[in-house]
Amino acid sequence: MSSQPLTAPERRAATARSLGSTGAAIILYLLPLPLLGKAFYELVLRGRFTGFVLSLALFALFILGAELMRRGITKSWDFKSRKVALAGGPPLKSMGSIVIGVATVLTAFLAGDQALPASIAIGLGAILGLFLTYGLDARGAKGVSADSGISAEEVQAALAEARGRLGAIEEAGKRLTGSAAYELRQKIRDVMAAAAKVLHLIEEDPRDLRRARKFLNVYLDSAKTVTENYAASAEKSHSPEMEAKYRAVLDDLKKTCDEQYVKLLENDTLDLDAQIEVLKTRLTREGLS
Amino acid sequence: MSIGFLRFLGVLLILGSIGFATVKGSITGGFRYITPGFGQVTHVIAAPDRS
Repeated sequence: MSSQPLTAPERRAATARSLGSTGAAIILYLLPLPLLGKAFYELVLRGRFTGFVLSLALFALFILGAELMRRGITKSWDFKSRKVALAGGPPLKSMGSIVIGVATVLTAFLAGDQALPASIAIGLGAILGLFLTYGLDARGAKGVSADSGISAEEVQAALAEARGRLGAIEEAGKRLTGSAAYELRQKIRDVMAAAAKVLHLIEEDPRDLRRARKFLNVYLDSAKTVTENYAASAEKSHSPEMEAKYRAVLDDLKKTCDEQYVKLLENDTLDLDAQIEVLKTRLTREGLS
Repeated sequence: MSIGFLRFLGVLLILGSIGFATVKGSITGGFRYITPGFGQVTHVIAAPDRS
């Protein structure tokens, strides 16, 4: 899913999801630990290298399944928390369940001295338990009504592209040096937060995408070009005049972003497009675009 | 049946099946097909009284 976190709250939410999924899947990481004990027993106490390797291989298979499951849980939570989402990619939870099920059958049969039917039953029990505890993988799309004329794929692609541009702005901001770098980076963060608000609005109501298309394509692209050009020129030589211009442009970007957010809320498209045109002309005139 | 109960059942199944396989697998020495005498029950036979 295309959802790189942009703002501090988004980053915090992503970290919380990651930690939460690890917590939810922790039992799957802990249960295979006895196999490490067996690996130690086989190698150190018995001197049986094959047994040592097999124990480690079974342990690794369990951990692989747990990791797939953890990623699947994160993906499901991400899907649930978004207004518009498209569940694509491999079904990680199902894959994790099958890997853990196979590891359980092999462990019970090869190491646990269980008959084959009993081992298979134990493995199926594990798969059923995983399914009941963690549920199935999220599939399909949500958040876009069929009569809106916009597909979830379209919204996802547009938002991903916009997030990519914002990410590039942030990256270019990191390259800024000099005494004003801290202040400029803070301004860039403000622009990002304001732009992220617009993206959230589109996510809330995908019908806004049509009205905001120019904002996402022209405006964010201009902001990205300006920042990248300034960062590149500032690396070579520091010009106070250029710095002042860039600072003013950032203030303008932030202001326009806020205004566009309000205008999107009010569905005032015509005014919004005119404003973008004015900004674009200004950037070209000042040699920043 | 509520979702909570089903989850609880799921956790029990996970603990029971995976836990059983890994714990039993680790306390049983060796591996099937690899370790000679794997799975055979050995009894401790008392030594004859020599007194």
